Amino acid sequence: MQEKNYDVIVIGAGAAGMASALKSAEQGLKTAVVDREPYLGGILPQCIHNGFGIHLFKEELTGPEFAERFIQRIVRSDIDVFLNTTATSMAVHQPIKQVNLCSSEYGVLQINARAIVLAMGCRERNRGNLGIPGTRPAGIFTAGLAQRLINIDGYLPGRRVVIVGSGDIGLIMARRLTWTGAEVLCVVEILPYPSGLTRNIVQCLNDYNIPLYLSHVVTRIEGKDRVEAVEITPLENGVPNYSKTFKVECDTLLFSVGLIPENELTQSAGIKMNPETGGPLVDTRLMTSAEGVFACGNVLHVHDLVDWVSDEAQRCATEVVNYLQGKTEKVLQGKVIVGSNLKYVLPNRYRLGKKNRFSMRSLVVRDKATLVVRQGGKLVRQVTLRHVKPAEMFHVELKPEDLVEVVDNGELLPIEFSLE
Amino acid sequence: MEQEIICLSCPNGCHIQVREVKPGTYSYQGAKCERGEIYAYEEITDPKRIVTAVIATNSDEMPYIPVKTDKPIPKKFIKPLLKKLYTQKVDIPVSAGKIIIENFENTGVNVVITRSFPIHSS
Repeated sequence: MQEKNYDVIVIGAGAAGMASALKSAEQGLKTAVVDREPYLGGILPQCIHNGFGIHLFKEELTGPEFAERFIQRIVRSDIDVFLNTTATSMAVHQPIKQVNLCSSEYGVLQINARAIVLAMGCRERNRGNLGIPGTRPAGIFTAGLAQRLINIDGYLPGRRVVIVGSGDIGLIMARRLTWTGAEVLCVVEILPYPSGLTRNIVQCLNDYNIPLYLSHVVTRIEGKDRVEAVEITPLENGVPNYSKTFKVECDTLLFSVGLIPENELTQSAGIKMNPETGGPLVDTRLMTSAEGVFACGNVLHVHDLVDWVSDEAQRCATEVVNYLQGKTEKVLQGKVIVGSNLKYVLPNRYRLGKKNRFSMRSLVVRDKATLVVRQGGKLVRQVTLRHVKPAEMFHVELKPEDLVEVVDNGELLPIEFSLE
Repeated sequence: MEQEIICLSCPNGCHIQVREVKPGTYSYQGAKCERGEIYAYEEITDPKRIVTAVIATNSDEMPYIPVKTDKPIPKKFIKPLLKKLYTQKVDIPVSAGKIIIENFENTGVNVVITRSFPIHSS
Protein backbone atom coordinates (compact mmCIF):
# COMPACT_ATOMS: atom_id res chain seq x y z
CA MET A 1 0.00 0.00 0.00
CA GLN A 2 1.28 3.47 -0.88
CA GLU A 3 1.43 6.17 1.75
CA LYS A 4 1.72 9.89 1.01
CA ASN A 5 2.05 12.95 3.23
CA TYR A 6 0.54 16.40 2.78
CA ASP A 7 -0.33 19.51 4.74
CA VAL A 8 -3.92 19.42 3.47
CA ILE A 9 -6.03 16.83 1.72
CA VAL A 10 -9.20 18.08 0.02
CA ILE A 11 -11.85 15.40 -0.54
CA GLY A 12 -13.88 16.20 -3.64
CA ALA A 13 -12.79 18.22 -6.70
CA GLY A 14 -16.00 20.08 -7.49
CA ALA A 15 -16.55 23.80 -7.11
CA ALA A 16 -15.79 23.75 -3.38
CA GLY A 17 -12.81 21.37 -3.50
CA MET A 18 -11.11 23.18 -6.39
CA ALA A 19 -11.47 26.66 -4.86
CA SER A 20 -10.28 25.42 -1.48
CA ALA A 21 -7.29 23.48 -2.85
CA LEU A 22 -6.16 26.42 -4.99
CA LYS A 23 -6.29 28.84 -2.08
CA SER A 24 -4.34 26.59 0.29
CA ALA A 25 -1.72 25.78 -2.36
CA GLU A 26 -1.35 29.51 -3.09
CA GLN A 27 -0.54 30.01 0.58
CA GLY A 28 2.28 27.49 0.30
CA LEU A 29 0.59 24.44 1.79
CA LYS A 30 1.39 21.08 0.25
CA THR A 31 -2.06 20.16 -1.03
CA ALA A 32 -3.69 17.02 -2.44
CA VAL A 33 -7.17 16.88 -3.96
CA VAL A 34 -8.98 13.58 -4.56
CA ASP A 35 -12.13 12.82 -6.55
CA ARG A 36 -13.92 9.60 -7.46
CA GLU A 37 -14.75 10.84 -10.99
CA PRO A 38 -12.26 10.70 -13.88
CA TYR A 39 -12.37 14.50 -14.32
CA LEU A 40 -12.13 17.65 -12.23
CA GLY A 41 -15.15 19.91 -11.77
CA GLY A 42 -17.69 17.76 -9.93
CA ILE A 43 -21.22 18.42 -11.14
CA LEU A 44 -20.26 21.53 -13.17
CA PRO A 45 -19.26 19.86 -16.48
CA GLN A 46 -22.77 18.42 -16.89
CA CYS A 47 -24.49 21.76 -16.11
CA ILE A 48 -24.08 23.06 -19.66
CA HIS A 49 -26.65 25.86 -19.25
CA ASN A 50 -25.57 29.42 -18.48
CA GLY A 51 -26.05 31.52 -15.36
CA PHE A 52 -22.93 30.64 -13.38
CA GLY A 53 -20.34 33.09 -12.13
CA ILE A 54 -22.39 36.31 -12.11
CA HIS A 55 -21.14 37.23 -8.62
CA LEU A 56 -17.64 35.74 -8.80
CA PHE A 57 -16.57 36.64 -12.34
CA LYS A 58 -19.17 39.35 -13.13
CA GLU A 59 -20.20 37.50 -16.27
CA GLU A 60 -22.59 34.71 -17.16
CA LEU A 61 -20.80 31.44 -17.78
CA THR A 62 -21.94 27.89 -18.41
CA GLY A 63 -21.03 25.19 -15.87
CA PRO A 64 -18.12 23.77 -17.93
CA GLU A 65 -16.70 27.29 -18.44
CA PHE A 66 -16.99 28.09 -14.74
CA ALA A 67 -15.21 24.83 -13.88
CA GLU A 68 -12.49 25.43 -16.44
CA ARG A 69 -11.50 28.74 -14.84
CA PHE A 70 -10.48 26.67 -11.81
CA ILE A 71 -9.27 23.54 -13.63
CA GLN A 72 -6.76 25.51 -15.73
CA ARG A 73 -5.27 26.99 -12.56
CA ILE A 74 -5.13 23.59 -10.81
CA VAL A 75 -3.35 21.98 -13.75
CA ARG A 76 -0.70 24.71 -13.60
CA SER A 77 -0.35 24.59 -9.78
CA ASP A 78 1.65 22.34 -7.44
CA ILE A 79 -1.52 20.58 -6.28
CA ASP A 80 -1.40 16.79 -6.55
CA VAL A 81 -4.64 15.58 -8.14
CA PHE A 82 -5.89 12.02 -7.59
CA LEU A 83 -8.76 11.19 -9.97
CA ASN A 84 -10.77 7.93 -10.06
CA THR A 85 -9.96 7.84 -6.36
CA THR A 86 -12.57 7.26 -3.65
CA ALA A 87 -12.07 8.10 0.02
CA THR A 88 -13.40 5.14 2.00
CA SER A 89 -12.62 6.10 5.60
CA MET A 90 -10.77 8.63 7.75
CA ALA A 91 -9.11 8.69 11.15
CA VAL A 92 -9.52 12.26 12.35
CA HIS A 93 -9.07 12.42 16.12
CA GLN A 94 -5.27 12.72 16.01
CA PRO A 95 -2.82 15.50 15.00
CA ILE A 96 -1.83 13.75 11.76
CA LYS A 97 -5.06 12.66 10.11
CA GLN A 98 -5.31 9.66 7.90
CA VAL A 99 -7.53 9.19 4.83
CA ASN A 100 -7.87 5.74 3.27
CA LEU A 101 -8.54 5.71 -0.44
CA CYS A 102 -9.18 3.33 -3.30
CA SER A 103 -7.83 4.29 -6.68
CA SER A 104 -7.73 2.68 -10.10
CA GLU A 105 -4.21 4.07 -10.53
CA TYR A 106 -2.69 3.58 -7.06
CA GLY A 107 -4.80 0.73 -5.69
CA VAL A 108 -5.27 1.07 -1.96
CA LEU A 109 -3.72 4.35 -0.88
CA GLN A 110 -3.24 6.15 2.41
CA ILE A 111 -2.85 9.91 2.60
CA ASN A 112 -1.69 11.52 5.84
CA ALA A 113 -2.34 15.22 6.34
CA ARG A 114 -2.36 17.85 9.07
CA ALA A 115 -5.75 19.09 7.93
CA ILE A 116 -8.68 17.68 5.94
CA VAL A 117 -11.16 19.72 3.91
CA LEU A 118 -14.46 17.94 3.32
CA ALA A 119 -15.85 19.02 -0.06
CA MET A 120 -17.83 15.98 -1.19
CA GLY A 121 -20.89 17.93 -2.29
CA CYS A 122 -24.38 16.47 -2.21
CA ARG A 123 -26.56 13.95 -3.96
CA GLU A 124 -30.16 13.95 -5.12
CA ARG A 125 -33.18 12.79 -3.20
CA ASN A 126 -34.91 10.04 -5.16
CA ARG A 127 -38.11 8.02 -5.39
CA GLY A 128 -37.20 6.09 -2.25
CA ASN A 129 -37.07 9.32 -0.25
CA LEU A 130 -40.63 10.16 -1.34
CA GLY A 131 -42.12 6.69 -1.04
CA ILE A 132 -44.37 6.83 -4.13
CA PRO A 133 -46.46 3.64 -4.49
CA GLY A 134 -46.62 1.59 -7.69
CA THR A 135 -44.47 -0.71 -9.75
CA ARG A 136 -40.71 -0.44 -10.20
CA PRO A 137 -40.22 -0.15 -13.96
CA ALA A 138 -37.33 1.34 -15.93
CA GLY A 139 -37.58 5.02 -16.85
CA ILE A 140 -37.34 6.60 -13.40
CA PHE A 141 -34.39 8.95 -12.98
CA THR A 142 -33.27 11.78 -10.77
CA ALA A 143 -33.03 15.01 -12.77
CA GLY A 144 -29.26 15.22 -12.32
CA LEU A 145 -28.75 11.68 -13.59
CA ALA A 146 -30.83 12.47 -16.68
CA GLN A 147 -28.71 15.62 -17.11
CA ARG A 148 -25.54 13.55 -17.01
CA LEU A 149 -26.94 11.01 -19.49
CA ILE A 150 -27.82 13.73 -22.00
CA ASN A 151 -24.97 16.20 -21.56
CA ILE A 152 -21.99 13.92 -20.88
CA ASP A 153 -22.88 10.52 -22.29
CA GLY A 154 -25.22 11.64 -25.08
CA TYR A 155 -28.23 9.43 -24.35
CA LEU A 156 -31.87 10.54 -24.34
CA PRO A 157 -33.48 9.09 -21.20
CA GLY A 158 -37.01 9.09 -22.66
CA ARG A 159 -39.52 10.67 -25.03
CA ARG A 160 -42.59 11.53 -22.95
CA VAL A 161 -41.53 12.91 -19.62
CA VAL A 162 -43.19 13.93 -16.35
CA ILE A 163 -41.03 15.87 -13.89
CA VAL A 164 -41.66 15.70 -10.14
CA GLY A 165 -40.52 18.78 -8.22
CA SER A 166 -39.96 22.30 -9.48
CA GLY A 167 -36.41 22.70 -8.23
CA ASP A 168 -34.00 24.41 -10.59
CA ILE A 169 -32.44 21.20 -11.91
CA GLY A 170 -35.89 19.89 -12.82
CA LEU A 171 -36.81 23.11 -14.62
CA ILE A 172 -33.51 23.24 -16.49
CA MET A 173 -34.05 19.62 -17.53
CA ALA A 174 -37.57 20.40 -18.77
CA ARG A 175 -36.04 22.81 -21.28
CA ARG A 176 -33.07 20.58 -22.06
CA LEU A 177 -35.34 17.60 -22.82
CA THR A 178 -37.56 19.79 -25.00
CA TRP A 179 -34.48 20.90 -26.93
CA THR A 180 -33.46 17.29 -27.53
CA GLY A 181 -36.87 16.51 -29.06
CA ALA A 182 -38.54 14.89 -26.05
CA GLU A 183 -41.96 16.00 -24.90
CA VAL A 184 -42.22 17.28 -21.32
CA LEU A 185 -45.85 16.76 -20.32
CA CYS A 186 -45.91 18.55 -16.98
CA VAL A 187 -44.06 19.47 -13.80
CA VAL A 188 -45.68 18.38 -10.53
CA GLU A 189 -44.91 20.39 -7.37
CA ILE A 190 -46.16 19.47 -3.89
CA LEU A 191 -45.85 23.04 -2.55
CA PRO A 192 -48.27 25.86 -3.42
CA TYR A 193 -45.38 27.86 -4.94
CA PRO A 194 -42.51 26.90 -7.28
CA SER A 195 -39.20 25.85 -5.68
CA GLY A 196 -37.02 27.14 -8.51
CA LEU A 197 -35.97 30.62 -9.57
CA THR A 198 -38.54 32.75 -11.41
CA ARG A 199 -36.25 33.07 -14.42
CA ASN A 200 -36.25 29.29 -14.78
CA ILE A 201 -40.04 29.10 -14.55
CA VAL A 202 -40.29 31.65 -17.36
CA GLN A 203 -37.47 30.45 -19.62
CA CYS A 204 -37.82 26.70 -19.09
CA LEU A 205 -41.57 26.13 -18.65
CA ASN A 206 -43.57 29.13 -19.92
CA ASP A 207 -41.49 29.40 -23.11
CA TYR A 208 -42.54 25.88 -24.07
CA ASN A 209 -46.06 25.90 -22.58
CA ILE A 210 -45.18 23.18 -20.09
CA PRO A 211 -47.88 23.05 -17.39
CA LEU A 212 -46.80 23.40 -13.74
CA TYR A 213 -49.19 21.74 -11.29
CA LEU A 214 -48.71 23.38 -7.89
CA SER A 215 -50.04 21.63 -4.76
CA HIS A 216 -50.09 18.32 -6.65
CA VAL A 217 -48.36 15.00 -6.00
CA VAL A 218 -47.65 11.85 -8.01
CA THR A 219 -49.60 9.18 -6.16
CA ARG A 220 -48.90 6.13 -8.34
CA ILE A 221 -46.42 4.90 -10.93
CA GLU A 222 -47.65 2.38 -13.52
CA GLY A 223 -45.81 0.17 -16.00
CA LYS A 224 -44.30 -3.31 -16.08
CA ASP A 225 -40.92 -3.08 -17.80
CA ARG A 226 -41.01 0.64 -18.58
CA VAL A 227 -42.98 3.51 -17.03
CA GLU A 228 -46.36 3.68 -18.81
CA ALA A 229 -48.28 6.28 -16.82
CA VAL A 230 -48.40 8.19 -13.55
CA GLU A 231 -51.35 9.23 -11.44
CA ILE A 232 -51.37 12.84 -10.26
CA THR A 233 -53.53 14.02 -7.36
CA PRO A 234 -54.23 17.58 -6.16
CA LEU A 235 -53.63 18.43 -2.51
CA GLU A 236 -56.48 20.16 -0.72
CA ASN A 237 -55.67 21.50 2.74
CA GLY A 238 -52.55 19.36 2.67
CA VAL A 239 -54.41 16.11 1.93
CA PRO A 240 -54.60 14.37 -1.46
CA ASN A 241 -58.11 14.51 -2.92
CA TYR A 242 -58.25 11.19 -4.77
CA SER A 243 -61.61 11.98 -6.38
CA LYS A 244 -59.71 14.47 -8.57
CA THR A 245 -56.83 12.12 -9.48
CA PHE A 246 -55.93 12.13 -13.17
CA LYS A 247 -53.60 9.97 -15.22
CA VAL A 248 -50.79 11.10 -17.54
CA GLU A 249 -49.33 8.59 -19.99
CA CYS A 250 -45.57 8.87 -20.15
CA ASP A 251 -42.45 6.72 -20.48
CA THR A 252 -40.15 8.63 -18.16
CA LEU A 253 -40.33 10.17 -14.71
CA LEU A 254 -37.69 12.61 -13.41
CA PHE A 255 -37.28 13.62 -9.78
CA SER A 256 -36.03 17.07 -8.83
CA VAL A 257 -36.97 16.97 -5.16
CA GLY A 258 -34.01 18.35 -3.28
CA LEU A 259 -30.44 17.51 -2.42
CA ILE A 260 -28.79 15.84 0.56
CA PRO A 261 -25.21 16.62 1.64
CA GLU A 262 -23.14 13.48 1.15
CA ASN A 263 -21.74 12.80 4.60
CA GLU A 264 -21.36 9.03 5.10
CA LEU A 265 -17.59 9.53 5.29
CA THR A 266 -18.02 12.38 7.79
CA GLN A 267 -20.41 10.46 10.02
CA SER A 268 -18.43 7.24 10.04
CA ALA A 269 -15.43 9.25 11.27
CA GLY A 270 -17.49 10.27 14.32
CA ILE A 271 -17.94 13.94 13.38
CA LYS A 272 -21.01 15.68 14.87
CA MET A 273 -23.81 16.51 12.45
CA ASN A 274 -26.39 19.29 12.14
CA PRO A 275 -29.80 17.70 11.50
CA GLU A 276 -31.18 20.90 9.93
CA THR A 277 -28.58 21.13 7.17
CA GLY A 278 -27.59 17.48 6.82
CA GLY A 279 -23.99 18.65 7.04
CA PRO A 280 -21.48 18.66 9.91
CA LEU A 281 -21.72 21.22 12.73
CA VAL A 282 -19.03 23.83 12.20
CA ASP A 283 -17.57 26.65 14.24
CA THR A 284 -16.68 30.11 12.98
CA ARG A 285 -13.60 28.70 11.20
CA LEU A 286 -15.81 26.19 9.32
CA MET A 287 -14.04 23.56 11.42
CA THR A 288 -16.07 20.49 12.35
CA SER A 289 -16.19 18.84 15.78
CA ALA A 290 -12.91 17.08 14.86
CA GLU A 291 -9.99 19.47 15.22
CA GLY A 292 -8.27 20.13 11.89
CA VAL A 293 -11.18 18.83 9.80
CA PHE A 294 -13.00 21.55 7.87
CA ALA A 295 -16.03 21.53 5.57
CA CYS A 296 -17.28 23.78 2.77
CA GLY A 297 -19.71 23.82 -0.13
CA ASN A 298 -22.70 21.55 -0.54
CA VAL A 299 -21.38 18.92 1.86
CA LEU A 300 -21.85 21.54 4.59
CA HIS A 301 -25.23 22.89 3.44
CA VAL A 302 -26.88 22.91 0.03
CA HIS A 303 -26.31 26.18 -1.85
CA ASP A 304 -28.42 27.71 -4.65
CA LEU A 305 -25.53 29.40 -6.44
CA VAL A 306 -22.09 27.98 -7.18
CA ASP A 307 -20.63 31.46 -6.66
CA TRP A 308 -21.41 31.17 -2.94
CA VAL A 309 -19.82 27.71 -2.87
CA SER A 310 -16.53 29.02 -4.26
CA ASP A 311 -16.64 31.96 -1.87
CA GLU A 312 -17.23 29.72 1.15
CA ALA A 313 -14.49 27.32 0.03
CA GLN A 314 -11.95 30.14 -0.22
CA ARG A 315 -12.84 31.40 3.24
CA CYS A 316 -12.53 27.82 4.48
CA ALA A 317 -9.04 27.48 2.98
CA THR A 318 -7.96 30.74 4.63
CA GLU A 319 -9.05 29.28 7.97
CA VAL A 320 -7.10 26.09 7.23
CA VAL A 321 -3.97 28.15 6.59
CA ASN A 322 -4.45 30.16 9.80
CA TYR A 323 -5.08 27.00 11.78
CA LEU A 324 -1.97 25.24 10.45
CA GLN A 325 0.08 28.35 11.26
CA GLY A 326 -1.24 28.19 14.82
CA LYS A 327 -3.06 31.51 14.59
CA THR A 328 -6.55 30.46 15.62
CA GLU A 329 -6.20 27.54 17.98
CA LYS A 330 -7.57 29.13 21.14
CA VAL A 331 -10.18 31.39 19.64
CA LEU A 332 -13.03 32.33 21.99
CA GLN A 333 -16.37 31.52 20.38
CA GLY A 334 -20.04 31.96 21.21
CA LYS A 335 -23.05 29.86 20.27
CA VAL A 336 -25.40 30.77 17.44
CA ILE A 337 -29.07 30.08 18.15
CA VAL A 338 -31.63 29.65 15.38
CA GLY A 339 -34.79 31.56 16.33
CA SER A 340 -38.23 31.88 14.77
CA ASN A 341 -38.95 31.39 11.06
CA LEU A 342 -35.43 30.27 10.15
CA LYS A 343 -34.48 26.78 9.04
CA TYR A 344 -30.81 27.11 9.85
CA VAL A 345 -27.98 29.57 10.39
CA LEU A 346 -24.42 28.71 9.51
CA PRO A 347 -21.75 28.62 10.94
CA ASN A 348 -22.95 27.49 14.35
CA ARG A 349 -20.53 29.75 16.30
CA TYR A 350 -19.39 33.39 16.20
CA ARG A 351 -16.21 35.12 17.29
CA LEU A 352 -15.13 38.60 18.31
CA GLY A 353 -12.77 41.05 16.68
CA LYS A 354 -13.48 39.87 13.13
CA LYS A 355 -16.27 40.01 10.59
CA ASN A 356 -18.77 37.17 11.01
CA ARG A 357 -20.51 36.06 7.83
CA PHE A 358 -23.61 33.92 8.23
CA SER A 359 -25.61 32.00 5.64
CA MET A 360 -29.22 31.13 6.39
CA ARG A 361 -32.55 30.00 5.02
CA SER A 362 -36.06 31.11 5.85
CA LEU A 363 -38.85 28.70 6.72
CA VAL A 364 -41.50 31.01 5.28
CA VAL A 365 -42.34 32.87 2.07
CA ARG A 366 -42.71 36.60 2.73
CA ASP A 367 -42.49 39.83 0.76
CA LYS A 368 -41.07 41.94 3.54
CA ALA A 369 -39.26 40.54 6.55
CA THR A 370 -36.92 41.78 9.22
CA LEU A 371 -33.97 39.72 10.33
CA VAL A 372 -33.18 40.43 13.96
CA VAL A 373 -29.94 39.50 15.69
CA ARG A 374 -29.78 39.58 19.49
CA GLN A 375 -26.81 38.97 21.75
CA GLY A 376 -27.93 37.79 25.17
CA GLY A 377 -31.37 39.31 24.56
CA LYS A 378 -30.02 42.70 23.43
CA LEU A 379 -30.67 43.82 19.85
CA VAL A 380 -27.37 44.12 17.93
CA ARG A 381 -28.47 44.19 14.33
CA GLN A 382 -31.61 44.50 12.27
CA VAL A 383 -31.78 43.90 8.51
CA THR A 384 -34.80 44.46 6.27
CA LEU A 385 -35.17 41.86 3.56
CA ARG A 386 -37.28 42.57 0.50
CA HIS A 387 -38.23 38.99 -0.16
CA VAL A 388 -37.53 35.71 1.63
CA LYS A 389 -38.38 32.15 0.67
CA PRO A 390 -36.98 28.74 1.63
CA ALA A 391 -35.51 28.24 -1.85
CA GLU A 392 -33.25 31.29 -1.59
CA MET A 393 -30.34 31.36 0.84
CA PHE A 394 -29.32 34.77 2.13
CA HIS A 395 -26.29 36.12 3.92
CA VAL A 396 -25.78 38.53 6.78
CA GLU A 397 -22.48 39.96 7.89
CA LEU A 398 -21.92 41.19 11.45
CA LYS A 399 -19.19 43.75 11.93
CA PRO A 400 -16.74 43.41 14.83
CA GLU A 401 -18.35 46.44 16.55
CA ASP A 402 -21.82 44.83 16.43
CA LEU A 403 -20.87 42.33 19.12
CA VAL A 404 -19.66 42.93 22.65
CA GLU A 405 -17.44 40.72 24.74
CA VAL A 406 -19.52 39.28 27.56
CA VAL A 407 -18.20 36.03 28.94
CA ASP A 408 -20.45 33.73 30.89
CA ASN A 409 -19.03 30.46 32.26
CA GLY A 410 -15.99 30.70 29.99
CA GLU A 411 -18.12 31.15 26.87
CA LEU A 412 -19.34 34.20 24.99
CA LEU A 413 -23.02 35.06 25.28
CA PRO A 414 -25.02 33.28 22.58
CA ILE A 415 -26.44 35.29 19.67
CA GLU A 416 -29.87 34.54 18.30
CA PHE A 417 -31.14 35.06 14.75
CA SER A 418 -34.84 35.33 14.02
CA LEU A 419 -37.07 36.49 11.22
CA GLU A 420 -39.91 38.79 12.28
CA MET B 1 -54.26 43.02 -26.88
CA GLU B 2 -52.95 42.64 -23.35
CA GLN B 3 -50.12 40.34 -22.31
CA GLU B 4 -48.45 39.60 -19.00
CA ILE B 5 -44.65 39.55 -18.91
CA ILE B 6 -42.62 38.51 -15.86
CA CYS B 7 -39.53 40.69 -15.79
CA LEU B 8 -36.24 38.81 -15.33
CA SER B 9 -33.98 41.83 -15.03
CA CYS B 10 -33.68 41.40 -11.25
CA PRO B 11 -34.98 39.07 -8.51
CA ASN B 12 -38.09 41.24 -7.96
CA GLY B 13 -39.75 39.49 -10.88
CA CYS B 14 -42.38 42.16 -11.56
CA HIS B 15 -45.53 41.00 -13.33
CA ILE B 16 -45.97 43.61 -16.06
CA GLN B 17 -49.23 44.06 -17.98
CA VAL B 18 -48.40 45.21 -21.50
CA ARG B 19 -51.03 46.71 -23.82
CA GLU B 20 -50.58 47.70 -27.42
CA VAL B 21 -52.24 51.12 -27.54
CA LYS B 22 -51.54 51.56 -31.25
CA PRO B 23 -49.39 49.45 -33.59
CA GLY B 24 -45.81 49.54 -32.24
CA THR B 25 -46.66 51.57 -29.14
CA TYR B 26 -47.18 49.91 -25.78
CA SER B 27 -48.31 50.87 -22.31
CA TYR B 28 -46.96 49.11 -19.23
CA GLN B 29 -48.42 48.48 -15.81
CA GLY B 30 -46.79 46.82 -12.80
CA ALA B 31 -43.10 47.50 -13.50
CA LYS B 32 -41.30 48.87 -10.46
CA CYS B 33 -38.54 50.43 -12.61
CA GLU B 34 -37.90 51.36 -16.22
CA ARG B 35 -35.71 48.33 -16.83
CA GLY B 36 -38.94 46.36 -16.59
CA GLU B 37 -40.46 48.34 -19.47
CA ILE B 38 -37.38 47.79 -21.62
CA TYR B 39 -37.44 44.09 -20.83
CA ALA B 40 -41.17 43.82 -21.56
CA TYR B 41 -40.77 45.66 -24.87
CA GLU B 42 -38.05 43.22 -26.00
CA GLU B 43 -40.04 40.21 -24.82
CA ILE B 44 -43.07 41.36 -26.83
CA THR B 45 -41.31 42.45 -29.99
CA ASP B 46 -38.29 40.14 -30.29
CA PRO B 47 -37.70 37.67 -27.43
CA LYS B 48 -34.18 36.23 -27.32
CA ARG B 49 -32.55 33.38 -25.43
CA ILE B 50 -29.10 31.89 -24.90
CA VAL B 51 -29.07 28.34 -26.29
CA THR B 52 -26.84 25.61 -24.88
CA ALA B 53 -26.48 22.05 -26.18
CA VAL B 54 -23.93 19.30 -26.75
CA ILE B 55 -22.50 18.22 -30.09
CA ALA B 56 -20.86 14.98 -31.11
CA THR B 57 -17.08 14.57 -31.33
CA ASN B 58 -14.79 12.06 -33.02
CA SER B 59 -13.50 10.82 -29.64
CA ASP B 60 -14.68 7.84 -27.59
CA GLU B 61 -13.20 9.35 -24.46
CA MET B 62 -15.34 12.50 -24.72
CA PRO B 63 -18.17 11.61 -27.13
CA TYR B 64 -20.04 14.91 -26.66
CA ILE B 65 -18.82 18.43 -25.98
CA PRO B 66 -20.95 21.35 -24.73
CA VAL B 67 -21.59 24.52 -26.75
CA LYS B 68 -23.48 27.80 -26.33
CA THR B 69 -24.57 30.78 -28.38
CA ASP B 70 -22.25 33.70 -27.62
CA LYS B 71 -25.25 35.99 -27.25
CA PRO B 72 -29.02 35.57 -26.99
CA ILE B 73 -30.61 34.44 -30.25
CA PRO B 74 -34.18 35.33 -31.34
CA LYS B 75 -36.51 32.58 -30.17
CA LYS B 76 -37.69 31.67 -33.67
CA PHE B 77 -34.14 30.58 -34.54
CA ILE B 78 -33.76 28.18 -31.61
CA LYS B 79 -35.26 25.13 -33.36
CA PRO B 80 -33.33 25.48 -36.64
CA LEU B 81 -30.15 26.13 -34.68
CA LEU B 82 -30.58 22.98 -32.57
CA LYS B 83 -31.30 20.99 -35.72
CA LYS B 84 -28.07 22.18 -37.26
CA LEU B 85 -26.09 21.51 -34.06
CA TYR B 86 -27.24 17.91 -33.91
CA THR B 87 -25.80 17.25 -37.37
CA GLN B 88 -22.39 18.76 -36.53
CA LYS B 89 -19.29 16.90 -35.46
CA VAL B 90 -16.22 18.44 -33.85
CA ASP B 91 -12.68 17.10 -33.84
CA ILE B 92 -10.83 16.52 -30.56
CA PRO B 93 -8.59 18.14 -29.26
CA VAL B 94 -10.66 21.27 -28.89
CA SER B 95 -10.49 24.38 -26.71
CA ALA B 96 -13.26 26.33 -25.04
CA GLY B 97 -14.05 29.50 -26.97
CA LYS B 98 -13.58 27.98 -30.41
CA ILE B 99 -16.31 29.13 -32.82
CA ILE B 100 -18.00 26.26 -34.61
CA ILE B 101 -20.87 28.12 -36.28
CA GLU B 102 -20.35 31.71 -37.34
CA ASN B 103 -23.15 34.25 -37.76
CA PHE B 104 -25.99 31.71 -37.79
CA GLU B 105 -28.62 32.68 -40.39
CA ASN B 106 -27.30 36.27 -40.33
CA THR B 107 -28.39 36.76 -36.74
CA GLY B 108 -24.89 37.87 -35.72
CA VAL B 109 -24.86 34.98 -33.25
CA ASN B 110 -21.96 32.53 -33.09
CA VAL B 111 -21.91 29.11 -31.48
CA VAL B 112 -18.83 28.44 -29.34
CA ILE B 113 -17.38 25.42 -27.55
CA THR B 114 -17.58 25.70 -23.73
CA ARG B 115 -15.30 22.86 -22.61
CA SER B 116 -11.69 22.11 -23.51
CA PHE B 117 -10.63 18.53 -24.12
CA PRO B 118 -8.06 17.43 -23.25
CA ILE B 119 -7.56 20.15 -20.71
CA HIS B 120 -3.84 20.72 -21.52
CA SER B 121 -4.64 21.73 -25.09
CA SER B 122 -5.40 25.33 -24.19
